[in-house]
Amino acid sequence: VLVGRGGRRLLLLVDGVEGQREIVVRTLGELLPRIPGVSGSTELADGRTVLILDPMALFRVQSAVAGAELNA
Amino acid sequence: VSENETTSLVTFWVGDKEYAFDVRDVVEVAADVGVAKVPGAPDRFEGVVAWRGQTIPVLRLASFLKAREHTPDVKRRLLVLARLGAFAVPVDRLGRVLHASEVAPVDYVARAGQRDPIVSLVRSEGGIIRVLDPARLISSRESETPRNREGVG
Repeated sequence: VLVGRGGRRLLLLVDGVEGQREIVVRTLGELLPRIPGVSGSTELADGRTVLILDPMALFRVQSAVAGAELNA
Repeated sequence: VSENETTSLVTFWVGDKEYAFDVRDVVEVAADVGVAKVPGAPDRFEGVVAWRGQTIPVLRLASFLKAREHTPDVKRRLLVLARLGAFAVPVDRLGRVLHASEVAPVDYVARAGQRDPIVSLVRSEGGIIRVLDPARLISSRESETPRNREGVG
């Protein structure tokens, strides 16, 4: 899956693509601490809850981890 | 609780022990239609579920109680609790509604950053029931995890 924002592009390797749909984005609530790379959640028609990912934030987190490992 | 007062409890089973919440803390008993795992969340969170138009966290109750994890062949339920915000805990099976007149409080013991959620004990014909305080399942320390302080996301 090719994603892009602000001139940056990322390729995400996924097991499969289910489709595209309009959703209502919900927060994960106040009790759960903010999780880097997860921007919210939504509920599918069958009742399942799925997470909404922020790929750019995931990339930043992974870059920071990789940089820390290189410096270690 | 004085001798003349009764406390209404909802009992449930996790592993081989019976526990209870005050009935006023239990908002709903919901079917477990699937908990969405949240990678990177603290271990005490199993994930999140949709409930009444919002997303609420599911706490890993068994780890609080030092009980064995839920076995997949048991059709478990989610107890939705409202204390400092709604959240859910999975239970192996529901017990009963119990009106207890003799509730013995227990002193909690601090355990490595989390408080013991058992606040009192009730004796019943089936044995001892451990009464849990939902507020003790939600710790303010949760918001101080290193991941949260990174400020990335």
